[in-house]
Amino acid sequence: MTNPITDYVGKALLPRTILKIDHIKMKNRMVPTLERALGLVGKVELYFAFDDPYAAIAVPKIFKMLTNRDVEPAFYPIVRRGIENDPDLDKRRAYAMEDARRLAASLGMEIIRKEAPTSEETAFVAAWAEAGREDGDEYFFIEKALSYIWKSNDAINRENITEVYLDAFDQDPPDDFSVYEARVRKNEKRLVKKGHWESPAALVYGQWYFAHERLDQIAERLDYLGRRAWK
Amino acid sequence: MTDKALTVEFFFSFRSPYSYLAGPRAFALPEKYGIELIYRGIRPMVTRGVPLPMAKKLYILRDAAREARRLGMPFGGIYDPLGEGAIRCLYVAEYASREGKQKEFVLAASRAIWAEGVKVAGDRGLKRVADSVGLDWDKCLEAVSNEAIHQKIEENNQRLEAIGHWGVPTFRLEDKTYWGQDRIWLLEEELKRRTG
Repeated sequence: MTNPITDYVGKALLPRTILKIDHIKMKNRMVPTLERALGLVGKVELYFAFDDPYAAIAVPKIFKMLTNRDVEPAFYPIVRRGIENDPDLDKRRAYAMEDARRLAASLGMEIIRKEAPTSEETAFVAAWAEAGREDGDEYFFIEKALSYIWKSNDAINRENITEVYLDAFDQDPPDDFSVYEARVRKNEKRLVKKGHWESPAALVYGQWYFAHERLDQIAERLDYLGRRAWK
Repeated sequence: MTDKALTVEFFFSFRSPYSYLAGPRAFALPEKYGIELIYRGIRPMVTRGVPLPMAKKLYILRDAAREARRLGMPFGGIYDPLGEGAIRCLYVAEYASREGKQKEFVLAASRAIWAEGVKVAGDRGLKRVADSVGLDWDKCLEAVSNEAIHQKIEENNQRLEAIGHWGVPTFRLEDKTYWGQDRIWLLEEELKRRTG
């Protein structure tokens, strides 16, 4: 028989307390206020996977949202994501394609690829995105690679993505990118350590959002924290 | 000859805060678009063997609270119905359907769970909800052990599986599936297109 006290603590007191603390944290403007006083820019962390159609929506939209807010995006490409031993993984992937197509269309975007690539097929792209971080502004590669993957049905292979890399950085991607794969693993660990498990996940001053479907909420949070878009 | 109304299936779980947030907009669809809404109560995901890690649990809780604020819905006085509570509500919801009080019970019970801190696993809590919508309490108790209702709930779960989905709240309009309280607007766009 269930103990009524543990039942109450676990099912009522705990979730209510979590929400109350969270609400206080959400209202706290201390960090962005300090940042502004010190002339520092803010940061939004965005964890995303190249095999995720929602990333093709979230990455450019978040980048555009942040460009005139004194907030910088920090992109963290990941490969391993989701729930371990998820029995519904295949269903999720199939639904994500259907749903991402509709969402993209509603935002004036397009998802053309018919079938999602596997995480293994796009793993090298994540490593190259990490390599690009050293070669300059990695966003241009990330955006172009996502665009290539999701706005075409062309083969996703090293030869074709090399063209994208060259276009972004004017140099070839590294032959040996094991060090960058290790950085992708670090990104995945960082995502989990900070409290999320999936792509595309945005960490906005302590609050997690699924970036493709909470764009308005992210903008509202930044507005509330005084990181308003310039007029 | 009359045109048959479009049907939208609404897969719902009392354990899902997003189902609670979807409820009022889902039950308003028939009046707005002249469609038939078929409510399908579903067992909680964890009882169907779907793992729910802590990070996801916390995200759902926090995100649902934010979404409730945006929707102007009360949220936070929670008594998680996992286990008996969610299952009993499923059974009573089926009985309420037979009494023509499905919408009233589903909305009242989910509000009780997610906003009013009512323990629906206990008789006192569930009776309070049943009384509030005018359901006969003795018949509610009978419903909880009713084999035909049990069968109906199993069929609902099988139907969700058959359409290739796993989560709630989910809406099915012919061959199109919409998952999430935050996709109701997309469903409504489609309904507007179809109903002119």
